[in-house]
Amino acid sequence: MSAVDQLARPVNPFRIKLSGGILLLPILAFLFIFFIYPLFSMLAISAFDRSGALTFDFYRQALGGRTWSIFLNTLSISLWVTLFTVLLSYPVAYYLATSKGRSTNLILIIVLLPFWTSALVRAFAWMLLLGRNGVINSTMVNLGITEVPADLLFNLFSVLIGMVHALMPIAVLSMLATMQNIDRNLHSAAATLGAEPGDTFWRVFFPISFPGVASAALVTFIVSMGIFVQPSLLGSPRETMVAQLIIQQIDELYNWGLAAAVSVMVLVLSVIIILIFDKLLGIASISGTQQAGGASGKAMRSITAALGTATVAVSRAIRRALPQRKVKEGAFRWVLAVPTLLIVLFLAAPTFFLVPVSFTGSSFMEWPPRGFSLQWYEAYFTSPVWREATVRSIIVALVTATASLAIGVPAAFALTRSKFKGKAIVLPYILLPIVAPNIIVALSLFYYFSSIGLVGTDIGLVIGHTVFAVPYVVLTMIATLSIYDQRLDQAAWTLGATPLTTFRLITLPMIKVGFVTSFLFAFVRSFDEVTVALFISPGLSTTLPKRMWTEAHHSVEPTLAAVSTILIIMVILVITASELLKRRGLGR
Amino acid sequence: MIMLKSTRRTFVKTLAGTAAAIAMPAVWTGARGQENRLTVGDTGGVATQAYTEGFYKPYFEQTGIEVIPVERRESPVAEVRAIVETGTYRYDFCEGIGHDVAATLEEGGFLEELDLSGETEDIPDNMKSSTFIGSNVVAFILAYRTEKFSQPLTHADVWNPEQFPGRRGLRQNARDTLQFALVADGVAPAEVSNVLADEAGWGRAFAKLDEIKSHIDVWWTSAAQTPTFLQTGELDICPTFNSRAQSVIDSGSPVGITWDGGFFMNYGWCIPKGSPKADMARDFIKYCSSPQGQAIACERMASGPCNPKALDFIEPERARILPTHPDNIANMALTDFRFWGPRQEEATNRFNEWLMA
Repeated sequence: MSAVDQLARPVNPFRIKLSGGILLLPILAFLFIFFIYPLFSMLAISAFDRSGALTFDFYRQALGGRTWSIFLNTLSISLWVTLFTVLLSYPVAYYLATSKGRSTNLILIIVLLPFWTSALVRAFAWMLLLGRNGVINSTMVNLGITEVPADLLFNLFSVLIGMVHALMPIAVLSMLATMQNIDRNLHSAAATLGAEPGDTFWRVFFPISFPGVASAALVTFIVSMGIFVQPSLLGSPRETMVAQLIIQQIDELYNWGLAAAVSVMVLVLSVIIILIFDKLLGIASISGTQQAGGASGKAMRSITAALGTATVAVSRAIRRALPQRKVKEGAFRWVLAVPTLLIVLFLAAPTFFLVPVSFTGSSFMEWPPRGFSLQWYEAYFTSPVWREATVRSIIVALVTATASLAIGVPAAFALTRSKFKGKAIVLPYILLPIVAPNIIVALSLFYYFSSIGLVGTDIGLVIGHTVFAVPYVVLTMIATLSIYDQRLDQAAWTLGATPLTTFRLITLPMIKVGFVTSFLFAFVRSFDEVTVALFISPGLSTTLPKRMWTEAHHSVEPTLAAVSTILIIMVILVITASELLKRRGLGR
Repeated sequence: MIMLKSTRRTFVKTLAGTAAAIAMPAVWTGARGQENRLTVGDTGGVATQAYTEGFYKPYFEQTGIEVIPVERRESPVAEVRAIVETGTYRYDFCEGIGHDVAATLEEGGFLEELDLSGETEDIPDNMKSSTFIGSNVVAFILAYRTEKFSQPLTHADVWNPEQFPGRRGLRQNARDTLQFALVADGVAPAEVSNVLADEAGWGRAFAKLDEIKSHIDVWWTSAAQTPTFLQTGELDICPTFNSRAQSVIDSGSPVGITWDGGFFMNYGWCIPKGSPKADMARDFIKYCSSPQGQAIACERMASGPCNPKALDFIEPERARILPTHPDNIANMALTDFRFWGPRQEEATNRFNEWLMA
């Protein structure tokens, strides 16, 4: 409730001593040993020519005409993706945070659907939905809405659709982790003080939820910058992004020097962006000082106040225009529910498409599915390779998620709760694995791991995945912790609780959602990772995404749709089962 | 109900239970002899099935040596280089490596010499080198929806949208698409590298591409997309690999292939330099030149056997649709990868700049 309160807080000396160094040490050391050192050893090749002499040629090439325009392309596409992702995710997260009942569980499951299907399969699903004779176009033509099929595919539009769809689950969950902790009573408090719903939202709810929005926007932006599946499968040459360029240099042109130079530029650019972001929107700083930092904070307050006034004015105007019919109480919820439903439909579309396709009798993923057959499920269930890959991926992902929480959560505590020198640089350092091009990280880990005997081991794979997963954990936990009112802890201390008891009984229950969300992010990051898996994981055993990826390169058979369906059913079963058990347990 | 006290614990239990239930039948891997085993870097899918039936299984029955596929990246150059430079052999040898890729690896000194005696002598000279032996041939051909056109299309017809209207796609790849354009301009496939020997030839190829650029609806990047394009009618005309087009034809769709003017590439075996099991792998690779094995594998993949004798072991009707059938290969040429190798980077940059302009 007092998260809106902008007063400076008294600092507990015990915590400062504990947090700064010790809490950050594990993650800083882990990332240095398993990411920074191998990565920069690899990137050094960008500064040397084949004979080993120092050269800036690769950088000169990297700054040349086409590469430069691909950089601009990447930035502008990422900006659009971030804008749409945040705009579309906010209402869904708000709905989930403020609604009760069974529908929220269902919506949450649907929001998370894209997580459980390989990026490649999802991109193919969009290709079939948006195509010339695809589901959307043929429906529109049949209904007589258009006469000629529209060009929905292979342009900026389809790239944005694919990328926004891929990133929305992350954004929704980041926001939800923050919103879940916003006290419901604030609404009532504002109402008793005479605020109308629009005003309450903009002046009270929105500012408190802002750390979630900021972290969602940051994650979306930097993840977008490294994406290559969607632009290469759904875009035209105009939508070429920098990750495609790097892969082409490595796989087709064998120019590692240029690939490394471009990667260095990506890293530098990303660090600058993260620092600007932190300065403007305050990721670490919000929490560090508990102030919506300086000038931008003031600007934001006046913007939200203006928006609040505007919303109130509009709703009053509507009410005046409909004088005889009194606008019902529930109207505000409907205004929210309808767009939420549409957005959720968008999130579910590729899955709703894949499920029927998995029962097709044809050997292609196509619409409408031909006949009915269980052959693609048979192909999965009769193949020990598929089953083994599934189990292995689940185990690797569980271990990765646990490890990521173990080193990520303490770091988030340190970043939100204490001030120390160089704090501004810690955040980009931790987020670097998200922005570093996957193929470069995979190659550098391969070289490094082979020197210490970790190639071909499961532990090597888990380490590689943890490098990628831990930034998501830190960012989510920061967003959760930054609106956590520390005075609750202080209250517990004054009542005689030890720091540990306080953590267990007060802090932990309040940040549970953040924990679960972080765990899920880390799990999924590992569960869908293919590049590092291809280089590092043991040769004789495979992982699910590896299997799906190589399979999809040969032919996009409906087996892939069947595997996706099986995964979704498994997830729904697990969620439902734990939910049922929880209810029974509570009703005891 | 006391057992259900902790929801977190029950959640984990549910999860573990689900995992265990699926894991049960998968425990078959594990303890197995190392000496009688070869691992092969493989790209999965239909190729794995075809090679298993054509080579791995019969070889095991004959020698007791098990050949186990291990997934590798589709473009193996970076991977093989890293494997050799670090001495970390994720697999003992590779399957399905393009002749062009093998030439690049050979140049870098990343490949072992092979044993070119015995049945490998049946393989034509342009399908093998000292470090590479082809096992099958895939052609980059013109594919189109037959119901849209009253006659079989030629490369030149692709450049005639007035007479042959329809949605067109081209590969977003400098080499394959420049070759395609020159053939459409009347150059014989075998002459393409001669024409490109000087700047005038490059100018000619790009001028030809200029003519059609505005009529191209899709510049595809992944060959896996092309069967879907042809199957759903997203495209009416789409140059692609013959095996991709064949998979659509085999599913009963009205798609035709124009072989004349096509370019083929050999795919085959090679061994990363220093592989500890190089000798075993050499013996196996030699075995894979047998016509019977190639016949079984190629029939499944709709690719052409490198050993010409293999065609005798394939149903004549099926042999007719394979790239190395005499009727099909007559007017195609092997992509001149020794010409393209050193020019690949410049060609790609120029092509991409042209494409984005």
